[in-house]
Amino acid sequence: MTPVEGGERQTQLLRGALDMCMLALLSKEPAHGYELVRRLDEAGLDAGGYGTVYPLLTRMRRLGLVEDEVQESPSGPRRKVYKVTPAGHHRLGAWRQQWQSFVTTVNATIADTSGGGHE
Amino acid sequence: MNESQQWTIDQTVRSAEREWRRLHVRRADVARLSRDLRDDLTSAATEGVAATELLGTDVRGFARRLADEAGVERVPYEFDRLLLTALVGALPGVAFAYALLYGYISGPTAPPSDEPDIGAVVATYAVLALLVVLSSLLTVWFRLRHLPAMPRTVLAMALLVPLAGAIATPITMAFAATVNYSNALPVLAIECGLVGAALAGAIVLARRWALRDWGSLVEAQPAIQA
Repeated sequence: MTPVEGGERQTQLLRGALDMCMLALLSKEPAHGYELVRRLDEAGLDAGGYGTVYPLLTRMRRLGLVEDEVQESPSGPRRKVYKVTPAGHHRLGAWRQQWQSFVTTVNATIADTSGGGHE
Repeated sequence: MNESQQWTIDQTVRSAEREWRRLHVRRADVARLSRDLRDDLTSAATEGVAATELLGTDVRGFARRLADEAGVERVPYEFDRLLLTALVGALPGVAFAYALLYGYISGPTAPPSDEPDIGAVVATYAVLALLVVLSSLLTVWFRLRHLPAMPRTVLAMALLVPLAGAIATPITMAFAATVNYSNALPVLAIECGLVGAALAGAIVLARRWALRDWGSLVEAQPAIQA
């Protein structure tokens, strides 16, 4: 697999789990949009940048999984900080369980295979 | 935050706003999306990250994705369908007016004379123009009555389209006079363009007028249903 193919595969894998990762990071500590992008990067998740994360964050807000709170700052601009709602925590718990079950199934499927099968 | 960063944020937000307006996102939603985006870009800028670094060059694509994910209502203007239906609907009226004017159908018109009464000529053309407008309005009503706010749209068209015609006609005639009433194709194309643009503008304006309270109408519906 070339690095490009590897990157594309990583993006595809992340696509289905990005909202869960965002929710998990926000449940640890509320953040504004750009800060969340940075945290995703720090966690090693190449989420596609702000252009992907911010619209997704907006959808999560529409679905009631996160809510925003405006924080006025005397020294800087006001900030809209996103935090997970009770419904968001509940959904995160369900997603986490689903993910763990999925990973277990996938691990069991790919275990003990030598990679090609053309021996 | 320096002036350059502020300018970049302004440009980015303006570009996104243009795209949202092009998508016919409600004004209130444009304001909300715009305010939220500005706040977030400003927060990033205070940490030294420019808007262009965050969004790249495809701000319009970002704005489209954001509108989709935010689930915002779009005002159902349907300009294309409205304009096409109005044009097609006018054709029977034009054919009828042509037939009446050139004597293919007998009507209550005075026989042509060497010195026609200008008042009678204007009245004849006005009646024929109203027939065309009526034909167009009826077609719009019957073909598009399922669209929201169509009664108001047709009423607004009934007011604005004749008005646009009344304004465009003397302008077009003045233009024709300046080119010595030439029948050259480019001249005729410009004359048709002038009248067509005025009428199309009136139809677009009528639709916008009819849907000006669309946001509050949509928000009021759940309350009414409850």
